[in-house]
Amino acid sequence: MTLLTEPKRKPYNTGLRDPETVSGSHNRVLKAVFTNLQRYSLHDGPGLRTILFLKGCPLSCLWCSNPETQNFQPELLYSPNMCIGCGSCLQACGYGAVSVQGKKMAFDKGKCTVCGDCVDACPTAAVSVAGKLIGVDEAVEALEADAVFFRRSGGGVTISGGEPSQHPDFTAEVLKKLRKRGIHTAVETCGYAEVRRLFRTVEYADLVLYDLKIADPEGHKKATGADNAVILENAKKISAEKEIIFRIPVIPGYTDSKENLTAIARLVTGIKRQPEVHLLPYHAFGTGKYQGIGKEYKLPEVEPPSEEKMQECKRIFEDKKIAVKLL
Amino acid sequence: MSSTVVAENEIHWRTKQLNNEILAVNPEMCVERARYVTESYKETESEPMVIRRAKAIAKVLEKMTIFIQRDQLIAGVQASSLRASPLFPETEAGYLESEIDLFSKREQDRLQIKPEVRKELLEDILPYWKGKGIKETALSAMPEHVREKVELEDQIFSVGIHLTGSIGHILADYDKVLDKGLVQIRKENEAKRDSLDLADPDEGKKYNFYQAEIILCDAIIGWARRYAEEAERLAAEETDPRWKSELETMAAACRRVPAYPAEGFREALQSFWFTHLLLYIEQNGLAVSPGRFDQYMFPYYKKSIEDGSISREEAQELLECLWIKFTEIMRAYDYESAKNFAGFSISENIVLGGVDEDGRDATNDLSYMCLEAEAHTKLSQPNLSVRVHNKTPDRFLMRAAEISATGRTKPEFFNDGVGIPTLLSTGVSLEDARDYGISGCVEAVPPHANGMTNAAMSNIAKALELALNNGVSRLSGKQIGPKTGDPGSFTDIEDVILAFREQVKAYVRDMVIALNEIERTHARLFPLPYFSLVMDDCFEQGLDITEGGARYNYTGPQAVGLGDVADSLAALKKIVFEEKKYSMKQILDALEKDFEGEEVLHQILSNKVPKWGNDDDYVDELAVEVVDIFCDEVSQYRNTRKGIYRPGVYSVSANVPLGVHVGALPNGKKARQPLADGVAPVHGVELSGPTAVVKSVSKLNHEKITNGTILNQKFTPKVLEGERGKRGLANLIRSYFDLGGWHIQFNVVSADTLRAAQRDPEKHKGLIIRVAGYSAFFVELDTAVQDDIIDRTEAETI
Repeated sequence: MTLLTEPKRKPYNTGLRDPETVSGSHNRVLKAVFTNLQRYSLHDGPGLRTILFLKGCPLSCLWCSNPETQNFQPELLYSPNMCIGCGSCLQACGYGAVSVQGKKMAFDKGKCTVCGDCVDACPTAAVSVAGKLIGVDEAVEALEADAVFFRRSGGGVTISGGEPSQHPDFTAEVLKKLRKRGIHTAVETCGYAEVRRLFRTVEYADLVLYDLKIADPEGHKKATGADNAVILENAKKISAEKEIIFRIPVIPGYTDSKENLTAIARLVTGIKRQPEVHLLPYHAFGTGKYQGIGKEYKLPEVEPPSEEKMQECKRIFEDKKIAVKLL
Repeated sequence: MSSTVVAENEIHWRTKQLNNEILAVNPEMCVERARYVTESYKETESEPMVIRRAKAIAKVLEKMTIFIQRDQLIAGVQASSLRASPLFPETEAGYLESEIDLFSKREQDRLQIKPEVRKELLEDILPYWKGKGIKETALSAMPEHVREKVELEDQIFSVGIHLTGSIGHILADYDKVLDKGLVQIRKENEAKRDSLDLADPDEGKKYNFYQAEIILCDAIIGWARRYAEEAERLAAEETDPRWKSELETMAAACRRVPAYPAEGFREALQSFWFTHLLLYIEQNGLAVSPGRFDQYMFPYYKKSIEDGSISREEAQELLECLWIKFTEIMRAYDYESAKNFAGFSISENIVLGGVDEDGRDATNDLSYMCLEAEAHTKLSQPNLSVRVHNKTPDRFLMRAAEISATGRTKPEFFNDGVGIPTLLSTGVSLEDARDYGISGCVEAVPPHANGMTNAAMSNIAKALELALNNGVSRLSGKQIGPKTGDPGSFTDIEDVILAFREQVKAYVRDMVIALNEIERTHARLFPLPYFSLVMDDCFEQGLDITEGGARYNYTGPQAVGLGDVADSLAALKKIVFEEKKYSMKQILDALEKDFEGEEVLHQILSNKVPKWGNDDDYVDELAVEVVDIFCDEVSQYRNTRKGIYRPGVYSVSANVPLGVHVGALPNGKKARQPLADGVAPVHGVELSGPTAVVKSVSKLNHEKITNGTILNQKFTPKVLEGERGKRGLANLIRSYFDLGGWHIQFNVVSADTLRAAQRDPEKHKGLIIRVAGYSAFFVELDTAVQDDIIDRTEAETI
């Protein structure tokens, strides 16, 4: 797989304009930047699934457990635990971005061009690049590797992120090809995108996993950096056309209040064909990755919600006769 | 335990009590069997060996202590107290003497030994066996160059299991005893004996065979009577009316079976247990397996339910009494074997489900009840297996997956779609192939077979080490393999593979010579008239099972270290021959230094080359070739019982001790570190998750690996939680089998739980771990084996 070596672009944050350039369709070869392709996934759609995590997200939720998918460009990921301090990266770097810091290394983001030379040189895989370019056909081939498991389990492929609607044509083309091969397709989206673009993203998705977080506009803006009006509006439009499951991360102190969940439940009841709701308890598994890409984890210390708390949240939806599951 | 599959209050009080009692036992040695066998041997020195064997067992049955455990409804204990280990001086005398003070102190499978037992062994029993044991006799019969290989310190193959123990690994014809009873079987043997033309040299020699069987029938009937009498005696003294009446019922059953045909489920269970237990009193080979218990027991269950003589609940209670008894079977392994087959595990394999003789689904009510018995107990035995085919009911597979997901690492899952055709390809009839069971770990064995399927553990990683050092062991500096050329002159991966093939060819041949000599020694010194009694074909032919009396006769050696060999070849191919980043000489120098001062190269080899188990054809194709080389070499040989050699690729826990014999390898394995387990990837390199592992493994030529493979997948409990978790597991099983895989099992524990168990064994006594292929109590394992299990990469799907 080749690394993205074109000059760095500014993070593409609005999500509401210029749908094509990021996906690179103007180059005719449709490509996207992805961070991970995860097999044997059980919780992102039916059956056993393979998930493709695309890179780039217009939101920046405080609790995000995949911070390396937020920026659009490939970035260097350094795991000091894996580093043996051999200095191979130091010798390999042509930009003077690497220095020794005690027994470990330090990487100057300002000087680093993410050329990948240090990654090739590193003997332990302590340095890697989060984000690689992948073309549609290449993606389809990798995603259908587990087709036999999909058949047995009623599973398939889920495109997630980051935010797939940042790569609408890529997502659509990949899913179109997979669907032709009889594979079940799903998209997980935050819904923050211009509506035509969002429809394009989910055009070949058999199922949409649609994240809802905070009903209150102020609170939403604070916690995610984006306005929720578009998201709520799109939720109605997409759910009118597609099979949809709403997914709510239960973040103590942010999304787990009775008022918030009741407001979301009200929105769901307003939708004609009563979609299912999945509640995802907060976890802190992603915190290590923040350090690795040199980001700060801004969420104050929060404990994962208790089983009782999750049941309590669940009841709010059950009381409104909404089909709800805890993941 | 990560989750429960059954509410505590749904488990019968009796099951809980018996389960706890057996866990509380601190195992010790019982001297009785050794004493009576020795006494009998002294009395019968001039008689034919088969008669001597029958008389020795008869004496044990006549004299041994009859022990009945309170509230246990099934009678029959292997030694004089619960979970005590009987001794078998026929094969054990040598190490019993040399290791006598080690048993109570060793890391693995500790056994207490009373001072008076120690004294009797050293003074009265063991001296008699000097020079008479299987080991010294077999070794002295081997050609010198082969004996040297067997006795090597850094050995390439280990045949120790049948030097220090009997054959084991059969599936007896239990139904013969259940259906006919021993009185009838005795009559048939008499009739056979009397119909022999004694003047005919071939027939004449069968006389003593039948004579021995008759001695045994009488002895067994007498032994069961002793249980009846003891139960009656206890009942007469008993004041608790419940236990009193249960003793009376037990006595009545022991008066009838195994002498007469079992009348219903209760008698069938009792008759089964006597039949099974005797297999472990006659000999000390492991993995004598009940096989398709849910099939041959079902008619008795059905009859008793239909005639109202028992309720389903009573049947379940009885079944659970039996279930607990499987863990009673013990043996005093020698120090080395205890490491190889850790955890006192005997591998009594029960297999449920599968197809019937017409290819239809054979799952029945009893199959489900056996799953419940497993769910209700928390013990290492029986080794439980489930046969899966396209028509296996989803409910059955899901329940089995659910139990498997609780950290007990069983049941294991087997693919009829591979097992049956593989047996057919080796000449088994369709009827027998469809009726296969598992002998011990993962070996598909038809009924009427003398499996000997765990004949040897062989070290293909050592073969690669030799190929990369012109036949010289890096650890000892000795020339122990053929000179296959200076590896520094190799210019292509094919050169390496060729040298590897020559090393495998040479050691396999020596191993076969050794094994055949061991088989001949067993036939001469350790015939098994009781095994032969419960095997139909032995009776028909008048031929002992050790001489080839069974219908199918196998010898199954295993290859250990697949992951290391495949990864090493991939590393050389990529880094030396394709990318030319390092020269062969640089690599060989690093291996010679055990990577001392070569940390960067060591890390590159460990991290930056394709690794087996990631669904990457680059390395998977090399793994396929490695397995083919081993299988083709092994499969060409014939054993001494007119049977075939069957190659397997699994290690049980031998990947740890065999690793000690191997120097550094190009996959980054350092000298003496453990090898990869079975067909699984090297620990820690399977970065693409369980579906990728399964896809890699499914590329192997499973039909060629006629002795089976072990695929051990470890999951953290979280992955398997809830409906999704167990459905995921069931789907993984079905998919792997669609792809043509043979066996899969799951370790479902967190590393933290295991570390806690290591620190505080008292609190984790019931924690079962699958040591690749069978279950054992984790706290009874060697620390190194425990560490190895902990290190196995967790399949995270967070």
